[in-house]
Parts: sequence; C-alpha cells; structure tokens
Amino acid sequence: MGSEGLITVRIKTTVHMPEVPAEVEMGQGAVLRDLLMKLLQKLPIANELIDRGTGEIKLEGLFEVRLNAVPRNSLPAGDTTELHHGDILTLSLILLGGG
Amino acid sequence: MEEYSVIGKRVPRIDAREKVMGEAKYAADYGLPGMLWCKVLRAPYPHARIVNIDTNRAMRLPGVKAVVTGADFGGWTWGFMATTRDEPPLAVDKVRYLYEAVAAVAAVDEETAEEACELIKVEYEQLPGIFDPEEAMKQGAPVIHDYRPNNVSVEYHWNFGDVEKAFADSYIVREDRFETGKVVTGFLEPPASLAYYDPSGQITVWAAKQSPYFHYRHLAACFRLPLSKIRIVQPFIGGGFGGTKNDSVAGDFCVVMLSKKTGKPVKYVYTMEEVLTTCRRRHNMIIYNKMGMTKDGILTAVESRVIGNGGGYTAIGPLTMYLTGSGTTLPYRLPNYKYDAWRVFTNNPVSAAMRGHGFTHTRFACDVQMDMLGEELGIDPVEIRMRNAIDNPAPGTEYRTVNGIGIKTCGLKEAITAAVADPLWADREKTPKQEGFVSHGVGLSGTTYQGGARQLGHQSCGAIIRICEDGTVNFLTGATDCGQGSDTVLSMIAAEELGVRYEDIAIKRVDTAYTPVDPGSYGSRVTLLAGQATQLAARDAKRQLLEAGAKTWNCAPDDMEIKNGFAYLKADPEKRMSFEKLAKIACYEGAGAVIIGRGHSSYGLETIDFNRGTGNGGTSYSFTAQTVRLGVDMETGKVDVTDFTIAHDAGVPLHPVSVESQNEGGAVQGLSQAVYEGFIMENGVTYNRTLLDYKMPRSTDVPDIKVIDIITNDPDGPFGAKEASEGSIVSTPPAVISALHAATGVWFKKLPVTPEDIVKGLKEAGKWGVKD
Repeated sequence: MGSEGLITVRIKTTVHMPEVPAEVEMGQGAVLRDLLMKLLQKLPIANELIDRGTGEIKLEGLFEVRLNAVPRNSLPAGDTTELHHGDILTLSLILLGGG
Repeated sequence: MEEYSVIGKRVPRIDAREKVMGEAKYAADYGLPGMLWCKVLRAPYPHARIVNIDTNRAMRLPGVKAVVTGADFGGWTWGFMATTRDEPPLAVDKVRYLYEAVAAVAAVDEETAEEACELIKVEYEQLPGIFDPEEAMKQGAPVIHDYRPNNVSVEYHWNFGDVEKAFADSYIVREDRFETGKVVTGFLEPPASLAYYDPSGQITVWAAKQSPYFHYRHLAACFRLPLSKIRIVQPFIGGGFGGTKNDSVAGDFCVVMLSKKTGKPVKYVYTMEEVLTTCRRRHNMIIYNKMGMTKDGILTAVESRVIGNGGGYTAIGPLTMYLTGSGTTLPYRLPNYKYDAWRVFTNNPVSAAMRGHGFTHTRFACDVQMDMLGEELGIDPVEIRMRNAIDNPAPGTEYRTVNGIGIKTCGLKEAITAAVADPLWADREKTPKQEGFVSHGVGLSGTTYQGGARQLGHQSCGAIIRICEDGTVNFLTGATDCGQGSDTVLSMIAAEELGVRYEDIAIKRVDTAYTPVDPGSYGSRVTLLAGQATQLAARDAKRQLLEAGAKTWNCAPDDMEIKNGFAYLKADPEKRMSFEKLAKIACYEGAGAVIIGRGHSSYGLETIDFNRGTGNGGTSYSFTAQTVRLGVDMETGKVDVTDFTIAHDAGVPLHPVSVESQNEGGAVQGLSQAVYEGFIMENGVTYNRTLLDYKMPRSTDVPDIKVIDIITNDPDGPFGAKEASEGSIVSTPPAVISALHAATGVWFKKLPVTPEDIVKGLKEAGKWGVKD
C-alpha cells in the first residue's frame, strides 16, 4: 500500500513520453477510467483523446492500453475496473508509418 | 529445394515496357481541365516567429485564384505518433528551419503562382537558431518546440547484460567517435500531386507516394473527412527510399486546400532545389562507440551513445532511434549491450527514415571498430568476423539476441566465406599495391538488415485475386511498387501459387478506393508481407477453382493440382484440362460463380518496446558480406572505387534480376554516402542545393559489381524469401572504410570521406604524397 492509504500503479510506456510518470498514486476505489483521465490530461493531445462533451476516452488507433497485460477492451468491467496496489498499466503508442 | 515454374526465373519486369518506352505516367504527368498550379512560399530564416502575413497584393494579381496560410488548416498538425504530431502543413506561429513553407498560391500557371508568392508579405521576428545537436542539448540553448524545452525530441536508455563488468573483464577496449553524413534520399522524381476536391466533398489525388495509405489518413484527418471520401490514385513512382515519399509534404496539403477553395483541380511539382533544401533526409548521427573484446577477439560488450540531428520536427524519429540501437546486437554474438540515444531538435530540415533505416549508423560504427580492434589484436578482418558471427540456426530453432531479436536463418558465415573466396579478396595480394601515387586497398564488411518490418497497429497487407472467365487473372494489392520491382515479384508469387503463367497475371496499380489497405512500401516488407497476402489470396482462389473442377471430374479437390496453366489429376497427370477451361467451368457451371480469392498477412507481432529496446521488429533478417576494391591518390585524396563483391543472404531470391538490381542499387547508394555525397550546411543554410553541387556517383563512377546469392530458405518468407533491398546500403560504407584503411593505413570515422579528409588523414599519418 502506498502513502496514506493510496495505491500505487506502475506505468509502462513503450515509447518515450516525458509527460507520463513511471508511477501514479491513486485513491482507494479508483478505477481505470480515473487513471487514464489523470494520465491523458497531461499529454499535448488531451483534447483529442477525451471527448469534452461525453467524457469518452478515445484511444483506438492511437494507443493500445493493457492493465496487468490484459487489453483494455477485454477487461470484463472495462474502464470501471477497480485498481489495486501494484497494478501495471501499459501504454503502447501506435505508429502510423514506417521507414 | 522445390522446383518452381515461375519463382526464381528471370522473367521481364512487369512494368519494363511502359518505362522503357517512356509511356509510364508519373504524378507530374497528370493534368485535368481547368487545372491550377500551386507554388509554395518559404521562410527566409531558420528560426523566426511569424508576426503577420499579408496576402492582399498576391490575391490581386491577375490569374491568382486563391492563397492559403497556416491559419487555413485550423491548427491541425501531423506526425507518426499521437504524442509527437508537431508539424503543421504550413507554419503557423513560427518557422523552425530555413525555407519551411508558410503560404501557398493557386494560379492559372506556374509563373503567376511564383510571382504571387513574391507578393505575399510576411513579417518575421528572427530568433536565435541552433544547428548542432550537441549544442542544442545544452542548458540555455534556444528552444525550438515549447513542448520539449530541452530540445530532446526522443531519448532511449537501454541496458542488457552487465556492460561495466564486461568492459572491466575485457582484454582490450577502445572508444571512438563516428559520424554519419547529412544525405538526401536521392529519388529523381520530385514530390508532386494533382488534387481535386470535388463538389460532392470527395478528395481525389494523384500523388507520388510510396506509401499512399499514410497520405490517405493524413488527408482524412486534416480535412476532417471519412476515409471513404479520400481517394489516392497511384501513378508510377520514380524512386522513394523512405522519408519524403513515405510521408506528406506541405504541397500535398496545400493543393487539396486550394482545390477546396477554388473548386478546381490543383497541382504542384517541387523543384529539385526544394527537395534538396526542405525534404526529409537521413539523420546525421554522432556515435560514441565503446567496444570490448577478449584476447582471442571475441566481443564482450558494446556501449553506444548516439546523438541524432533531428531537424525542426519529430517525424518518424522515435522509430529511427529505435532501429539505430536495435541493430547493434546483430550480426555478431553480443552478450552485453548499452545504448543511450537522443534525437535532438535543431533548426535544420527534418530528418527521417531512409533506406537502411537506423541500422546504417551503428553497423557502420561497429563494423569499423571491430576491424580496428582486430588490427590491434593481430587478427585479420575475416577471422575476427568469423569468430563472432552468428551461426545459421538448425532448422526449427532460433537464435535470440540479448535484446530479443529472433533469427531463424543466418547466412553470414557462408556469405563471408563466399565473398573472400572470390578473386577480388582472394587475389588481393597478387595485384599491385601501389601504382604511382595511387595506393590500392581491398576491404571487407559483414552486416545485416531487418525485413518484413512490423509494429503495433495497422500493419497487415491484403490481396485480392479475381479469376477472369478466360483464365487470366486480375490482381489487386495495396502495396506500392515505387521502382523496386514489387509488382513483378508479387505477380510471380500469384502465378506460382495459382499454377498459371506469369504473363496471365494483370496487376493493378494502387487506388485507395479499390485496392486493399496497406501499410506501405518501407522496411523491406513488401515481398514478405504483401507476398504472404498474395499467397493466401491465390490459395483461396485456387481452392474455389479446384472445388469446381472436382465436381466435374467427380473427385476430391485434393486429388487435383494446377501447374503451368493446366489442372490435372495427381494420380493420373495425363488427365488434364487447361486453366482457361477450369476457369470457365468454375464461372459458368449452373448459375455461375465469381471466383475471388482474398488474403491478408498474419505473421503476428512481437511488440517493440522502444523504451527498453526489446522486440522483434522484422519477420526475418538478411545478412551481407561485401568486399570492395579501390584506389586512393595519395597526393590528392581522390578515391576510385573499382569493384564490389556482395554475398547476400536473401533467403531464396524470388526474382533474381530484382535481387541483383536491388543489391546493386543499395550498394551504389551506400558508396555515395561513403565517399561522395553530403549536404554542406552552415547555420541551417544548405549550400549545395542543386544536383550539380550535391555530388552523387554517375553511371561512369559505378564499380563493377558481382552479387553472390546465399540461399538460406527462411521459414517465414514466401517461398523462403528474405529482404534484398536494404542490406547492401548497410554493408557498403564499412567495406569502403575497410578498403580505405587497407590502401592508406588510416582509419576514417566520419562519412562522407572527402578527398580533403583523406589528405588531412594522410598528412597526420605522415603518408601524404607517398609514391611508388
């Protein structure tokens, strides 16, 4: 358990993103959606990733997200999956293009 | 190996006739009634804030129909990843390299458009520029992008094994600084596009793109249209080599925006000066390389610190820096490896991908440094490589590098053996070492490149085979033949799989409205991934044909086979019918059928982790050993390269003519980067901005080239194929440096090696002007 009852989630990225920290502390009961909102809001393209009207998080085609190696779209509870201390979130950026 | 009917044959290239007869149409050859011409206004400063743009005078010029500036694009930017989309079609707030595009005009002719550009008044506030990447990393350097205040566009820090301990335990360790040049991709056809934004809201573009589906996505995003409304029609392409034609350029967006504004088709064709001053180029890299060996010359560790001169925007830089580091663990066994890399923004034109992407830099440094250590240890260049080279894994097994690259076939040792058995190397002591001022040398390299580039995302290729009722075949692929000959190879694969004649395959050029979506022509992937899609589509069509034939002959489809244009019973090959008859049966029996085969590549993915340096970016890896013979004038430093022998492991050469020509082309381009070409730049200004001043070898400068095929029959490639288009651009520079050393006794560590560099090196070594 992290400080003052907070849980710590480890963040792995596959491409250099200085805005994304290696670890994030979240409150008890936080869900995946809370974590994604916290992380994505720091990115320069936050407006594109989070629909201001609906609050929908739109990552398809841009990022592949896995929680403890399970793809985000395969999580039974989806974005409402409750986070636990020691969870690992992996953000893989999808590249458009090659050499 | 199996005997094939089409594969491995020296069939004529499918596009040869049109090209030889001058009938092939390139983007610049296209026109439409009422077409307007676009010209781009470019910034006169490498780093400046844009205070104001006044287009009124330009708009009043007779013949001018529209003017666009960065504001017209509504803040849209593009890039290869979501987090690095930092490049606008036209500069908005500031310019970040000299001649960056700031406005564009559509007019009735090119001259009027050019004149109108001169009438656009742009007010700039000049900013201090930064041009050297090592200076740009220092605290207090001018900031090029606010989102990267330290000017570091991307950085990686990888560590495999225990490098420090390995160096401490090594018998010998050396450290050197290497540098690769500032070079252009080198196509002869400049970027060009004809665009029409029609009244129904659909965009149709005829553009010089080697990966048109990137451009299709860029246009959809930029103009906020569904992909179904974007149509890229692929003309013939006059060379690509990565970078510019794998991306979009300012003119591409401007012609569409100008067409939208005017309702007319609009066309641009860049000048070669625009190409040489503004288009994508290979990264210029500084490589601080440290290598350790045992007393017996066995590699113990490599540590590379690499600084890439990124230019004004990110483009594909994150992938470049990954490939630059990942290739170091091949083609020699390396147990300990550390890589620290920084791609740095500077006020230079944008650096991006180019043939031999990434691998060229560190393989040059490592191969040369291996020779240097071998010399210190008294181990000759052949032996030092053979002691360290990866063995060819036994069938069904795999060699894994320390960073997770998987090798199923490796012909390096066989290639080295073949290259040094060739008289060019074997008889090198029999030819005169020195004639007058000219000292001769023969050099060797052993390198690698990845084929079948794959990464996370939309990386699958597709193919559609439609059987015509007369037994001929329409073949659709989304893969672009940008001059490398892929249409020929893919048609050969289709013919071999279907069992028909090569000349019965009619391949169509890419049209994004009709052909399957495709990632693009890069990373030596087309033959392997589009090839697999073609195989699967052909098998699908063949299955349908055999099912129809089996009904007629009252047998099982598996009882039949199709080869050389005939279907026959396996048990009784004399019982046969023509492919045409089989097609008619399949298409006309009963209510008839439409025979369409479909396939898409599915090699799977081993995710690349750019941050940690792990992953398996290719489906397979080619290996090359190359020898070079050259003469150096010890007084003037002039180099005359006379002979190459290239032993290349391309798995199985599907079309030997293409394998040879790709090896030759890559090697000549590598030669050019070793001793001919390089931008002469100062403070962001390119001084050699025409092909008269930017030196590349002419046909008379090209050495005699012998290509030796090393057959390894890779299990993952179609018919055992691996890549054959990028290996020799990687192998040539270190082989040339090795030959220069053999001729002069001097090691050259910066590319290109100019006559001035050679004279300087000879003077420092006390060998200048040495004569026989």
